[in-house]
Amino acid sequence: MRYLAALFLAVVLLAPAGRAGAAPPPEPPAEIRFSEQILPILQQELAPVLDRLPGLTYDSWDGLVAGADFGQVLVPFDAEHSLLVQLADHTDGVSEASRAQLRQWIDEGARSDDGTVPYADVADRPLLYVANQGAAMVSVIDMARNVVVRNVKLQALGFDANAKPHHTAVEPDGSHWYVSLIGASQVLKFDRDNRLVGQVAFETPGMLALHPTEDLLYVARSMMAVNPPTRIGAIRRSDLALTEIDVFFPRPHALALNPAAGYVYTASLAENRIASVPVGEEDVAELIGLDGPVHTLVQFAVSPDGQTMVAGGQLTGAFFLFDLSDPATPTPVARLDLGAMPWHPVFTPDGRFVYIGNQGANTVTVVDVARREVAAVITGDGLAEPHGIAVSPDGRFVYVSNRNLKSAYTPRWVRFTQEMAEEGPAHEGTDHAGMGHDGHGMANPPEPTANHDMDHGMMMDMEAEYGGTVVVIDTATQEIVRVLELGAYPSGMSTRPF
Amino acid sequence: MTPALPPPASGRSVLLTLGLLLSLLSGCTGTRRTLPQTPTAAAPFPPRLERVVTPFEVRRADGTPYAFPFLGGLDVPRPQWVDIDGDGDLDLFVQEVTNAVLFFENVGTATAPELVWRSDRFQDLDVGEWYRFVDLDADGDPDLLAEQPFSYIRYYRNDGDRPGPPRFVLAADTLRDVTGAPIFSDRQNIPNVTDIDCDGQPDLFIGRVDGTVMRYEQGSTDAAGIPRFRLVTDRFENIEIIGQIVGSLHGANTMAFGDVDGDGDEDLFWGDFFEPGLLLIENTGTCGTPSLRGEPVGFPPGNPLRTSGYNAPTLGDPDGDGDLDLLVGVLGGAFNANATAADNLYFLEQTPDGFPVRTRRFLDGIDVGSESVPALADLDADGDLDLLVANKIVPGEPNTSRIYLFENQGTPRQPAFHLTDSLALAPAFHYAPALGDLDADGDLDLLVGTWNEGIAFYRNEGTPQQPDFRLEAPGYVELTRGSNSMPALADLDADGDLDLLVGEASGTLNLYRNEGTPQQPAFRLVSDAYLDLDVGRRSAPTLADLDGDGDLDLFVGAESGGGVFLRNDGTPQAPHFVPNASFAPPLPFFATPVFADLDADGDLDLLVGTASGGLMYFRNER
Repeated sequence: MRYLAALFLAVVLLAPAGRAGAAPPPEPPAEIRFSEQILPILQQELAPVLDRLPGLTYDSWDGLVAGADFGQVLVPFDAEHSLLVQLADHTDGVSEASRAQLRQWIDEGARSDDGTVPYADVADRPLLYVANQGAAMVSVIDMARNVVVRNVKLQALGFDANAKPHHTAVEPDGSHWYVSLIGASQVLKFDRDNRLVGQVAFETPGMLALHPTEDLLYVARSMMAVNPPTRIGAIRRSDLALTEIDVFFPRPHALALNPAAGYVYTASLAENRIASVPVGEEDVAELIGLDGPVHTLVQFAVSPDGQTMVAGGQLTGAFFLFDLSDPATPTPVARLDLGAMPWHPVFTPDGRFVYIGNQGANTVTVVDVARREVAAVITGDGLAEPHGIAVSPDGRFVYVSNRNLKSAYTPRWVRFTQEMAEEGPAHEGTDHAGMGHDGHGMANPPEPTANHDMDHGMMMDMEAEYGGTVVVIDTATQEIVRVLELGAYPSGMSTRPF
Repeated sequence: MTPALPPPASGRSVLLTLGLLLSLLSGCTGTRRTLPQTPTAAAPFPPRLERVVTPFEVRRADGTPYAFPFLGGLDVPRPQWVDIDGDGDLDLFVQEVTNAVLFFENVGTATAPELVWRSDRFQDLDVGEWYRFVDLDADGDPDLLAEQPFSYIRYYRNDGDRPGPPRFVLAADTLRDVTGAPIFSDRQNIPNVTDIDCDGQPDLFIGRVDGTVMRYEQGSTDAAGIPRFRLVTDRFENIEIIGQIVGSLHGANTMAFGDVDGDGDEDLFWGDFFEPGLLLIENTGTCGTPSLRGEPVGFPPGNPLRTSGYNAPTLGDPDGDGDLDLLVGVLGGAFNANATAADNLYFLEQTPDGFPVRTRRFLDGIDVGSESVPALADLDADGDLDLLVANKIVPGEPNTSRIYLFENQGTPRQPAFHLTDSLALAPAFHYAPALGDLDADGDLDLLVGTWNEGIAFYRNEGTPQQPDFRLEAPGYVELTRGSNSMPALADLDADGDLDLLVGEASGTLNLYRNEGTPQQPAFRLVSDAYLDLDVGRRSAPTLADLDGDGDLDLFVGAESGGGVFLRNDGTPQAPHFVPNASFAPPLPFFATPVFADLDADGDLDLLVGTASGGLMYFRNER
C-alpha cells in the first residue's frame, strides 16, 4: 500500500485548484486529430511530466507510440490503462477539457492523423493473452514488441465487473483464444480480432489447457465455491460441447497436457493427489499420491518432449520434477525447496529450463532440468506476487504476471507524479534513472501516512484501477527487460502452443 | 480376511430359505438393495413417502444411539444458532448443500435444548452458497442474508410475527451500497453481520481472498425500504489474515463475531482454507470503540483446534449458562478434507477451564464419509434385514473405501441397527455392494462395484448365518467405459437366476443377462446403454415392485438428486420399463436408493445414500 499513500500525497499536492465541484468539461469535438488537438496538449500542458519519461519523444505520433525507454505510454482503445491519461489526470496544469480529449482520442484508438491505430499490425505475430482477474479484462500483448496492443474489457460484452478472468488458452494457429471466468462460471471463446464467438457454462472454472492437435480444451476448477465438483471439464472447441471427468479428489486445480503421450494431468489443492486422464477419455487412468504434508500443487508444466512434468507446492515451497516415462503415472524423481509459494511454471521451448514465479518471495526461479538444480533466482522491480507465466515461442523471453495486491510495485504514474510533487517540473539534465527499469533504482515513495479509514474511497478507486504487471525476462541474461503495467490482479496467461 | 460377524440366531436359516423361495417364485430382486423382497399384493401407487430422521434406533460401535441416524450425513456444514421462532431458545440452522438450509427446532428450553429436525430446505429458501440470519430492519426478528449467485447478497425480510414462525419475503436480490452499486462478496468467503461499534446500525463484514476484511455499515434505505450500506473501510482494523504455514493466500474464509470473553464487545473468529484451526482476534477496545488490531491467535488458546481447515464457526449459548459456546463446521480446506468427511461439526463448550471439544459430530447420525451406498440383506439369517453402508473413501485413510455392517438386532417390525463391523475387502475406491446367492448354495454372495476397477465378485464361503466373503474375481465384470460401477442383482427374465444391472458415472445403465445357471452365473452384456436411459451422472439402479403388480419396477438414482422411476408395464419374464413421472421422491445429491420393507408393514420403505455420506430414510405411509 505504499504507493497508495504516495499517491494520496501526490494528489493532494497536485490536484488542480477548484477541481472538485468544477463545471463539467466542455464537449470534446466529434473527431479528434492527433496533430490538431492532442499534440498541443502534450507539448503545452503535459510537457513538464512527459519530460520526465526517459527516452520519450512526443513531438509526433510516431514518437509517442514508440514510447519511453521503459515502454509504451498508451494502450489503444483504453484510456483508463494508458500512462498518458493517468499522468494527465494527476498533473497540475492540465485542463479538464484536455483530459477529456486525451481520453476520447485513446478510447477511439489513439489513431494517427491518417487513421493508423498503434500496434495494430500484429499479423502473424505471437500474442500473449493475460487475464486480469481484478479488472474483468484480458490484455493482449504483442510478444515481438512487448507492448499491450489491446485490453479486452468483459464488461463491455455484458459480463459482470466481478467476472474474474483467471486463465487463458490460445489456438495453435492463433485464430481463437479462450478465457475462464471464475466469477461468472463461464469459459469464453474469442476470435483473433477479440470478438466473442461462444461461451460455455462451467462452475468455477480455473486453469485451462488446450490440446495442440485434438479438438479439446481442458478446464479445471478455481476456489470460488465452498464445495465445487470433483471434476474437470473437456470442451470440444469446435462446438463448445462440454464433457465432465470425475477425477475423484476435491478441488482439481493444476492442469497440464502431455500431447505426445496423450494424457492430461490435474492435481488437488486440498490433498496430495494427482490424476492422469487419457486424452479424449472420460476416466482417470491413475491416481498418484505424494508423500509428506499437503503441498497444494498449484500448476503443472510438461516438458516439450513429454518426459518431465514439474509443479510447485504452495504450502511447502517444494518444487517437484516428475518422470513421465510411464505417462499414466507421473513419478516424483526430484524435489527442490524454492521457498515461498512457487506458483505457475513453464518450460523453455528447448526443455532445458523451467521458470517459476515464487509468489511469496517476489522472485522467479530458473531450474536446470537436467541437473535438477536451481540455475538462477531472478529479482527486480515489477516482480510483485508472481502468478502466471509464459514463454515466447522462440524462447527468448519469459513473461511473468504479477498480482501486486500488496503493492510491492509502484506504478509509474504514481512515481512520476510523486516526483513532480516533490521536485517540481523536470529541467534540463534531470536524472531520469529512477524511472527506468533497466537495472536502475526507483524513487522510493514515503511510507504511508494516510489512514485507510480516512480516505478509503480514493484508495479503493486506485486499487481497483491500477494493479499488476507483466515482467519480461530475457532468458539469455536472466534480467528483467521490461515491465508492462496492466490492470488489477493479472493472473493466468497463455500464448499459442509451440 | 473373514469379517467377524455376530453369530446367528435360531430359526434364521428357515426364514432365509423361505425368502429365497419366494424370490424365485415371484421374480423378485436378489440385489444389493433388497433380499429377499416380496412384492406386496395391493400396494397403492405411487408410494407416499415421508422423510423420517429417527424412525428407529441405530447405535454406534460403542452401543450408544445416534441422535439423528438418518439425517443424511454432513460434509461441509455451515451452522448458525438463532431463535427463529421467538420462543426464547436457540434453534439451529446448518447449510450442507448449495441453496438449502437444514432447520432444527429447539423444542426444549433455553437451558435444556432439544433439537428436532424439521426440514432439509427451510421454507424452500434459495440461499446460494451461504446464509446469515440477522435483524436488518430492527423489528426484533431475524431477517436473512444469503448469496445471490454469483457472489452478490440476497436479502429476505422477515415479515412474520413473534413469537411464531418467521415469514421470509424476498426483499432485494442484491444488496447495494449507498451509491447504488451492488455489494460483491466472493461466494466462497462467507460474510457476517454484527453491530461492531454498538451504534445500533448493523455492520457487514466481507472477507477477501487476500485475508483482509471490508466493513460496511448500514446507512440509508432506498425507496423500497431496503437498507443500503456505506463502505467504512476496505481494510477493517488493518486485518490481514496470513496462513500459518507460509503466508498462503488464494483461499476461502469464514468469520463469526461474539463476545466470547464476556467483556462487553464483539470478538472475531476467523476460519480459512489455509488455516487448519480457528483464529481469534480479540476485541481489546470497548463496545463503542472497538479495537481488533491484535495478532490473531489459535483458538482455544493452549490447545487450538486443528482440523482439515476452512472452519466455519458460529457462537451461541444453547445451554443457557450465560456464556458463549462454539459450534464449528469443518468445510475442509488445504489439509486433507477427506479426513473430516464424517467428523466435521465440532461443539466446543465454554467452561471455567476453557473450551473442551465435547463432540466432533454435533448432529450425529450414520455418516461414513461421503457418497454413501447402502445395501440391505439378511446377513445373519435371523429374518430381518441388516444394513451395509459403503463410502467413497475412508475418512483419514486415503487408499480405500470401506463397507460398514450395521447388524439388525431388532425385529422385522422394529428394526434396531448396531454398527458391529466392517467387511474385509480388497482395497479399492468407492465400493458399491450388491448381494445375492450367485451359486445357489443358500447364502448370499457379494458383488462390489468400485470407482475404476469394475465389479469384484466375493463368494460367500461361510454360511447364511455367518458369511465369509472371499474374493473370487477382482474384475469380475468390467464396464465397456466409465467408472463408478453400481451393481444391482435381480431376476429380470424370471428364469430363476439373477441378472445384473449396473449404473455408472456417465448416468447410463448396463444390462448383463445371466446366461449361466443359478449355480454358475455367466453374465453377458446385453446393452451398455440399456433403455437409452441417461440420468445425467452417477446412475444408481434399484429394482423393486413398487406398484404391487408382481413384477419389478426400476428406480435409478442420480448425482443431481431425485431420480428416474420406470414402471414395468411388461411381465416378470419380459419387463418393459416405461418412464413414469408420478413417482419422484425428493432424494439428495448422489442418491443411491434401496427399497425394502423395513417395518414389516407390507409396503416398501426407501433408504438412500447421499453425497454427504449418510443415509436418508423415507417411510412408506401407503
